[in-house]
Amino acid sequence: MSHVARIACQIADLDALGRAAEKKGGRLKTNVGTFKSFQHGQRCDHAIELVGAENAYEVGVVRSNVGSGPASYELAYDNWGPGAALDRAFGPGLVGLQNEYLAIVAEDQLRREGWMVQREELEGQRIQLRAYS
Amino acid sequence: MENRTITVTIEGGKAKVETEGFVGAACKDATAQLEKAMGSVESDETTPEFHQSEVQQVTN
Repeated sequence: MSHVARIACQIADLDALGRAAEKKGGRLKTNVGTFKSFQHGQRCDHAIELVGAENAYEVGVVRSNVGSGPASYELAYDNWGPGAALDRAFGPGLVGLQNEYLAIVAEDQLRREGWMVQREELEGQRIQLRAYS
Repeated sequence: MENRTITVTIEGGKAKVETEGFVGAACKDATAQLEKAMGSVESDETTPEFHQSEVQQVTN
């Protein structure tokens, strides 16, 4: 082993976020302005809804940086009451959704660079990618 | 270069990137864009192999 790096998820690829949401039963809605939660009118840039659960709360995708550079986003949601469905679909604290986002972004990048990639689902919502030259 | 691998283990909304089979700092070049795409690097540790490889490269 040559080096080990630990990376904190930073959401910057909306296409990958949309694909991650779909895989977990959600749908990314772009440029919506607000997302459903206990408090009405919570501001966001985009939102993720659960497909087939119109009464459930939504995940807000909120831009976390300013300026003209590439946008990055944070996820916001309310897991009380109708929001519990979000924890069930996307994992407590939306960890399952973030894991899926990271896996999609990593696999896309590795394949762009010419690596062969194998994906394996591990216990506890863990995902492992192995890339070979 | 043969048998180079990059392993990405994702858990708890974070990723761990491990490399094997690279010579010296080449592993960092190989994963720089990958790490940038996923987010921000919280820690980055080189292993004994990282340094051994560099020494071998200089002395061969």
